[in-house]
Amino acid sequence: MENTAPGNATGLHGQVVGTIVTSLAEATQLDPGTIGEGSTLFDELGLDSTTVLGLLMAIEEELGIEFETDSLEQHHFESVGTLAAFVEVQVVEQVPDLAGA
Amino acid sequence: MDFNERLKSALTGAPDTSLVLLGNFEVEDQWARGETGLPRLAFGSDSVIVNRMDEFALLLAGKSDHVVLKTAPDSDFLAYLEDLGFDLPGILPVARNDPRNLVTEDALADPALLTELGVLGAEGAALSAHGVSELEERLAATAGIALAAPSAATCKAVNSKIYSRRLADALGIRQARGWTCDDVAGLEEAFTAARAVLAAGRPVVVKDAYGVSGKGIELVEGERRLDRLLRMITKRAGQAAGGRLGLVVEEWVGKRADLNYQFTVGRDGGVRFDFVKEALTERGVHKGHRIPARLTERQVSELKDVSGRLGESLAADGYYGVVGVDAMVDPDGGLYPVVEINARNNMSTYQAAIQEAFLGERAAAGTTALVRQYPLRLTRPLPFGSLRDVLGDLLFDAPGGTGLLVNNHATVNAAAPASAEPADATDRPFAGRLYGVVIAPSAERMTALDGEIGRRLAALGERSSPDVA
Repeated sequence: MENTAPGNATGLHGQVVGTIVTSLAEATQLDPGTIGEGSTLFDELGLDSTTVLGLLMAIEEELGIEFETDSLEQHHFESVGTLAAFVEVQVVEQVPDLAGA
Repeated sequence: MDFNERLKSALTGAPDTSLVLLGNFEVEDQWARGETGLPRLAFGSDSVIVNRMDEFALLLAGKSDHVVLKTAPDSDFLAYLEDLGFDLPGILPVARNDPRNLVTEDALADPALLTELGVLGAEGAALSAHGVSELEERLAATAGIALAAPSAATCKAVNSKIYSRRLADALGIRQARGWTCDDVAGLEEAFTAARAVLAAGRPVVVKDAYGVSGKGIELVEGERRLDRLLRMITKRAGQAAGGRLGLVVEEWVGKRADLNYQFTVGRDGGVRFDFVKEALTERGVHKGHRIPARLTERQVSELKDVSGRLGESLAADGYYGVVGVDAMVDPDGGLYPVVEINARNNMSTYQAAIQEAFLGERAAAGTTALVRQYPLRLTRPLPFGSLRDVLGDLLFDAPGGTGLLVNNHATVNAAAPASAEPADATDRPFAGRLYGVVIAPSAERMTALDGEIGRRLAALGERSSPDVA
């Protein structure tokens, strides 16, 4: 594989954002086309405490990672972008093959 | 006796005891401390709004009572309630409202309020909370006021979903097939049974023993998700001291309707059935109630019988006070009389005065009500006077009228950015909730009014925040 580092970052970032958007669209029954990186999860997308666990498990299944649920904090859930940043770190730590693909 | 007097009789033995009410909603979060269940992920503005549900206590209180609140209510809202004929209590606002805190925590941090509660206690008043945890016990002990409730330990024990299932089993009451888990071995056993249910093509539901309001409930439709959940829970249980668990696993059953009924257990062990309402839920989250519930006399009679038996057992286990029970009607009209027992005040408890005043025997035949919460999106706080203007003729503002009777205004602006925040933050859209009861002369009119109120409130959000989808 000849990808450059920035290219890898963009690829992983794009994959993580795509996974989050798809999972969010399923959890909230919104059109995925209306969800962007800047979308706030609770205020704009209407995510609530009853749907957040299902969202996390869908992301885990899709990316092959496991969250330490007790380490999740409010700021990770501000927006699609902040959640993606947190998830990317988990992917790099837990699935280095996927992160480097 | 009205409900306020019956409540006082049940809690203190006398209908004229002065109560100090405390609306510590979602007391389950306190009971859940030290228990391992589903991961608790309460983010967003939910908790700051829930903490302002304290204002519901206004209509549970009578003139001789007091209510501890996180802030003094909007004066126009108080005038509105008084114009409707409600006898309002004395109001004891805390010195400092921390939006993230329960009203009990704010009260504990207010020495002047503690002194005032002590004076009321010395005069014979008793503290009555939405539900009793160690925090409310501490508040009563610190202030020197009697707590009109059993111990926090008793309240916690009888509010576990494990207790509900075991009691209903012991009394031979019909339930969905299910399993209780209080340790990892029990969890693995329950999940093995759940796999068989999934293999037969039926979903299962995993419930936290102290979940509330749709939180801590996970619907599982495939084995892969069940395995993931099992890993997540066992990992958390392994990390927690003692590895103690509190979960219930049940087969998902079909239903035609959700019900909520309430009875009151007196200190003397007497049980009184209060009412039954048809619950409206959306994706498992409680959205309100329809009054009257669409039930046959036989169904109501069955619920009264179950109330008597549950109440007797709860009394034997040391509980007295309000008990709300969630139930279901199956697609064939049969009842699941116990889905869960909530031995604390319920949303319905706070509507009793409204029911007595506007929906009871004095109401015209056909009068129907829908207890609702409307989501709001605002960019600036909405005082009650402005809300009144927005609702206009849709506001219930006189006995015999129709429209929305607002019974909590604090939740509207609970999540507004603090005025001390920078100017750009104060324009940030925030979520709010408007709670009320839509009262109408017929079910058709009620549905139409509900739709119109929803549209008018949604338009308010569009006007105030055109840049937000």
